[in-house]
Amino acid sequence: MAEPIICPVCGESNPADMEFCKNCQSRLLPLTGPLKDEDGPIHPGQIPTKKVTAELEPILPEWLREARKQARQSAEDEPTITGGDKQTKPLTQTPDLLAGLADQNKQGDEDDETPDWLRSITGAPAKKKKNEQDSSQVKWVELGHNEEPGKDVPGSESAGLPWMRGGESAPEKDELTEWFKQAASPAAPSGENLTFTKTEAPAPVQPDRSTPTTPVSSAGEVPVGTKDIQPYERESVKDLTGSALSSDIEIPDWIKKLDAETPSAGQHTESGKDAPSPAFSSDTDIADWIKKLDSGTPLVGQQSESSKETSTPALSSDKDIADWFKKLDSETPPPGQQPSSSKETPSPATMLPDVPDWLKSFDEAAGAGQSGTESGEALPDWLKTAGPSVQETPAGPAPAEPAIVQSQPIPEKNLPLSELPDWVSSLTPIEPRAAEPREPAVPAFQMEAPATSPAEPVSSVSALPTEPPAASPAGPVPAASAFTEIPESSDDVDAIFASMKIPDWLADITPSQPSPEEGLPPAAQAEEPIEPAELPSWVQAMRPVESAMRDSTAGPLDSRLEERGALAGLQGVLPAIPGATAATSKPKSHSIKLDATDQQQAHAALLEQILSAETAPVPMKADSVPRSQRVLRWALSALLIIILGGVIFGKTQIFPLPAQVPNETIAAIQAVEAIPADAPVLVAFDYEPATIGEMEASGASLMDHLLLLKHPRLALISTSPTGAALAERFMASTLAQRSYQSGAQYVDLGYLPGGLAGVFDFSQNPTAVMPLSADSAEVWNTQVMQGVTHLSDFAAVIVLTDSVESGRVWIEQTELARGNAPLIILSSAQAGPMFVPYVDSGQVKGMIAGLNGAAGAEQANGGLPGFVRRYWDAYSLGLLLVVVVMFLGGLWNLWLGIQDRRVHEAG
Amino acid sequence: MRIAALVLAVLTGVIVLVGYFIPVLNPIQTIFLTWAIILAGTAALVGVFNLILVHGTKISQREKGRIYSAILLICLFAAFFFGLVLGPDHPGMRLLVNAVIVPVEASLMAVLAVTLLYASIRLLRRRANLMSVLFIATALLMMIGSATLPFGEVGALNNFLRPWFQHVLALGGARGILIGVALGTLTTGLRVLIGADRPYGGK
Repeated sequence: MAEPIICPVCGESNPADMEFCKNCQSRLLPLTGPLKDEDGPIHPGQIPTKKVTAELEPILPEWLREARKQARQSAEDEPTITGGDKQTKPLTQTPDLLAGLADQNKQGDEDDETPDWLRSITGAPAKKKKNEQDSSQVKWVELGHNEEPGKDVPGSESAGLPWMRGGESAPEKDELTEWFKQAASPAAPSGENLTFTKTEAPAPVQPDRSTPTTPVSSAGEVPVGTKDIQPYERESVKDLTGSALSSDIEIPDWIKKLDAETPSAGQHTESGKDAPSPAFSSDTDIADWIKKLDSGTPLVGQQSESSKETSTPALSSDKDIADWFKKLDSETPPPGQQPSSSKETPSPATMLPDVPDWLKSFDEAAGAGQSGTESGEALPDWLKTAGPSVQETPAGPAPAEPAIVQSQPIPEKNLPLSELPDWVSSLTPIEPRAAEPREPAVPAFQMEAPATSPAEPVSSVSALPTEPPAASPAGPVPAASAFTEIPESSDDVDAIFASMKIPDWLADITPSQPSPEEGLPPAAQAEEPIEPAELPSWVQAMRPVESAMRDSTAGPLDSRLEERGALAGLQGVLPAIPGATAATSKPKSHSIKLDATDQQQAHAALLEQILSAETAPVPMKADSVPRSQRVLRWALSALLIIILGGVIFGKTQIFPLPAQVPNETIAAIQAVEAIPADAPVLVAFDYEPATIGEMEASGASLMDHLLLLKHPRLALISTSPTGAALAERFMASTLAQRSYQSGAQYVDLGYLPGGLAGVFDFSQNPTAVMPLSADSAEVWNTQVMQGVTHLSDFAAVIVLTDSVESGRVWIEQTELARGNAPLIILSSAQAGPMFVPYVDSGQVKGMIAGLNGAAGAEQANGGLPGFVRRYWDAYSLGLLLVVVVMFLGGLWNLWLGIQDRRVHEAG
Repeated sequence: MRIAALVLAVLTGVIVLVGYFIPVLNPIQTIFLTWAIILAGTAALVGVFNLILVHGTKISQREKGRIYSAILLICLFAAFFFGLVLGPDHPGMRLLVNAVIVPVEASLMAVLAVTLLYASIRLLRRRANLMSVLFIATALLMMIGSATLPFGEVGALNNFLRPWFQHVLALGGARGILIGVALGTLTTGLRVLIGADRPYGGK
């Protein structure tokens, strides 16, 4: 389902199939339709198709070509005349077609506040502009007029163009003039009997396109009025609504008051010759159209249509009109001083020396005859042809309706759209509300909106391409209508103006300066702007950047030959995009200077020194003491060997045995003495041959004491591979005095492998673990091992060990299996301290550690076998010698060390 | 394979451990421990064979020091032969032990005594700090306290200072070491039981 279309003018929602708004009858869709092919909109990045607009130059009418030429000339002369006006420079550089517009804009800017004619109407001398003549020509050229307001007076014909002076005085005949003639061929009645001045006309006026738009009462007055409007219309399109005149207008209250306060005005209107001012001749008659003007709704459409046919762009802004009225009111003499009739009324020129030219001409035209201008002799051809209703309007107050009926529409066949210049035809699509569906061939400046409804107030305005089509129907419409009806009412304009007072609503409008947006049509004021990319073809052709883009893109960069890579040898394959490289910003330069503090520099120097020291070769220091060390070792060895050897071989007994026996030794002796006689005793030999001297001397006394006292049956076992041999050595040499024989008094079970597990397993089941002796004989069935099947069957377990680990294994792993059998440790002096805790805990019944502990046992054994005593002098002397050497040598080396450190620190 | 070894090791360890607390499991525990003793003896035998292989390779390849390898192998086979055939109580075997093994190892201990003395002298030159001084002082006191003087004992040293050092300081240190060893052994056993440590192989 198609979405409803929102009217861009009134905002009314319309069905999708509607072409015109059901409310305001505005065109809902652009007439041109979607742009296609060449005329299609261009998109960003797309290179527009170049169109040579110069080809259209010959098609233009001659007057237009001349006007364009003059516009260019004026644009060129502009900087020199204005003394370097900066604003005109860029405008003069625009294409030819826009030159006049630029100049017009310039002129429009200059006339924004107060037009010349408006300044001159006040009687004050208008400031002469420097480039008045040049700019004025540009202005009328662009808008289709040929004269400036101040130059269209009959008396100043020399200032105007020849063709504006009339048919006989127009030496040139251009297309526009002919076009107007053709348009005015069904001539309207004379301008004296303008229909809109007829207040007696029926109030309901049907909108008709044939209604003449020239709001003049006579032919001679038409130029004045229209010419006065010309600069006026350039500023605002809203003022077009002011041309809406109708006979059904009612005079508003302020007009009535004005009439009441100015009796002379009423006299003046009544004394009018042929065409008394319809606006003031009768209050009742005036009231209708004035009311209409005030309401501003139905008459605007009529005015639009009338102006459309007569090509009179009766445009004015409400603001300017209000100013005009204000000034007029302020400078108008009191009503009492106004002449009662136009005949008695002196010429404004004589009354007011500062009367502007156009008023003078107005007066002269009036003096020439009120109806003298009816024939249109003084009118130029284009006005004659353009104002058929004026010429054919019968004199006197004629009803408005016949005049409207007699109005002939502009023959469309004479001006098809295709024959129009591009700049004219292309302007029409801008306005969505343009009256193109009805009269597409009418030039833009003549076209009016299709005021099919009286309620459409601004349809005529929309036809103008360069000015906003719509205006608020409240304010500007009455002001414009009042302005436009002044010249048609009577030639005594001063009296009329003098009798008028500006109402409040009009005065309020006057000072307000319409903003640029207010002058725009509602569609243009809408928030949604036209997409910049969808430019019509005519704008595309007018774009001056086209050539620049083409030049930039079609530069020599496109034909660059690739020299490397996969595209080597190909030309123009990768065209460089203009600006892609040029737009690159220059990389920001950073300072490479390092700002380091003194501390950082010191650290850097230190680091550098360290690194350099790492790479520098370090000389090897020669060891200066190897000989002395070797000598020392030899000296120490010799000292010990000589002294101890001498003591041993000398069998000296200088050093007495220690008198105090350790407690663990005493416990060991007591435990041995507690062993029953001829009891099996397990003896473990877990020491190495290296410590055999200490171990045999340490264990001999206790074992001798045991053998001597108890004569036990011994079972020898060892957890060391050499243990069995050492056991045999111990029994054969150390206890040789006891004459123990293997297999008779003792058995050698041999080596018990497995370490901790072997000891544990042996403790659990000794007969199974060690079934054979070292000689591979049965031992458990021998006499020696009689009655022994478990570890607890042994009367005691004696462990000779020089190792803490082996002694600990026997202590720990046999504790449960031993039962009540005591464990006695015979250890070396090195391992003795480690068994002290077990002795203190009771796990070990006694211990003899080293030669010092064995001394007590030997003493308890009566000095037998005497190993302790034999080695005690050597032992004691050796210890004292070592202590002395260590002490003295330690002090010496300590001093040497201090010296070395001093030398090292000094070096 | 690794899983099987792990399971086997853990299971064996658990059974032996539980056997200490549950007498019913003692026979199984004994069997496992007997297997361990046999395996340990076999390992010693394997070590002997490995020693023979290494030194035999050196001799066959004429490497440097092959003469010592030859002497080692000769002594090895002689001791093995005499020990295996004659037995440890044979006079020839006793002679071999008393004439070779005991003097050699005893000499090493004698050299060690000289080296230790020399090192103790050089200690204060190389490392003159408090610990070195304490070490030297303690050694001197214990040696002096262990020996007797020609004219008799030094009562304070032999009867008081040395026993105090031996039964207080040394005993404390020894107990600490033993406790640490026990804890270490317990931890190592648990790690083996849970498979964290696999000394039998595997990662």
